Amino acid sequence: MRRLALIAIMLLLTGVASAQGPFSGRIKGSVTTEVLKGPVEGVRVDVEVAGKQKSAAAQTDTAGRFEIDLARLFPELKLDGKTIIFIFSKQGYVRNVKHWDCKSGAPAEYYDLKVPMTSLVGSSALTPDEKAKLNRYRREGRYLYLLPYKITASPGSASITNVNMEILANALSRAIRTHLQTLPKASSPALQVGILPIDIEVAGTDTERIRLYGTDLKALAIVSGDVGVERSSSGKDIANISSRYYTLPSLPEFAPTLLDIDDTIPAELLNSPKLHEKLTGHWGAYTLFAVSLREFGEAKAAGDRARVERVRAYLTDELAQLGAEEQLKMRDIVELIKLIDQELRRP
Amino acid sequence: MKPLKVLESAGLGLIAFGIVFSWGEGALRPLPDEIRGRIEMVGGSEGNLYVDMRVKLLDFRDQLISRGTGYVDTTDGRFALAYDRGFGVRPRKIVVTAPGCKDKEHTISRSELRSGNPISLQFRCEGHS
Repeated sequence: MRRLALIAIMLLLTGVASAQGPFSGRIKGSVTTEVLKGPVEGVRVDVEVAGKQKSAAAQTDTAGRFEIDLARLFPELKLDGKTIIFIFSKQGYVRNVKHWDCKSGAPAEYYDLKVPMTSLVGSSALTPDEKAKLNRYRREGRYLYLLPYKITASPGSASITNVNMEILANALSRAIRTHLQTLPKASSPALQVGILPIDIEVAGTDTERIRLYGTDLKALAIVSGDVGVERSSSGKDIANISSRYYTLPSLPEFAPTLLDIDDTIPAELLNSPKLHEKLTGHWGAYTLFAVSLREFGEAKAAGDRARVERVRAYLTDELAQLGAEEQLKMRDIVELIKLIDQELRRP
Repeated sequence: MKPLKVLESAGLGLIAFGIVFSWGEGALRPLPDEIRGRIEMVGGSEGNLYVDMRVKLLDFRDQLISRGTGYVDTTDGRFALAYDRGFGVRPRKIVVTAPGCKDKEHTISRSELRSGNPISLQFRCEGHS
């Protein structure tokens, strides 16, 4: 009997050891700004193992995420027991170096490398002048704030120097409302969303500062972007609108998200009240996501379970309408639903 | 045999034994090929000195033997120095450099090297070198 028990214990130990297995070499992580924890896109990740370097082994995506397969990068090396050095760099940020010891029996995949980056551009606090400017635009309620769009025109195309931001804001507002009308009303949260253009100059690369503005304004999201006007092969001027949409959730569990939206429209519509007809439903969909984040945060704080369930039902409907090409947004919605489910599982 | 001759033979024997012993020890218990440690900042300094800090490994002739960038972890000052364990190669010194500060040298003892344990260093920025 005693011998059988001993064999059982040994089998159990063997099972545990084999379940851990050697390190697979796959690393996943995310890079965020140090102060507001917003994602940092375009960060170069260099890797060094045993004095051997691989430059630009990865680059972070719009959500600040990266993935590296060390076994593929260093097929000649046995990684167990080695120190892996990750070097994160991007212009405008302080270089960040992380050492990670790859121990035998470590998890097969390491997912949780969180890297904060300190911005060299701007300080972490708003100046009194900036605060005074922001106060002029401050509104109660749910607002998207639109920073001035930068306009560039390629040679040979018409030069459109002034885009009327009021027209752009109204057009977006109408496009968003059109999109909201298609949603099932019973499950949708309160969707009174205003859009307000603000005339403050800030570099598009200074994402940390843009988020600071948004946080100070208690914005649902801040939108910035640029417009490139060019002449198409058919001889017509077209405007490529690239917008960046910074959601600002009040939830500590959910990092602010950065979403890119591209629209191509005839250039003459840039200053036309008909602009909204050409804007796609993306704007509405991203706004819904931002509203859901805020709505969930408020419902959670109020302990209103029915309201939390409404947000969940609403997001599930939204998810069902998404196509495979909208993977990024889908991933964010799935993460939010997971967070809501965690909340709903609580007694 | 003269006493001097005996002493000479004994001395030579000891040296030969020492060489053979260190070869044998090297073959049986090779030195680690990576030296790890942590640099602790002492005294006040402006900003994060780890950001531009570098470490390197020298042999007994002060020749550079470490490979790689020599970057330290910008959060906690950890470092890892890899080198080729060739015949007769023995790491002797760790040199820490940081812009605007005097270099810091640490002589690695035999026991530190053999143990393979992380080496703790203290760094105080003492003005320009």
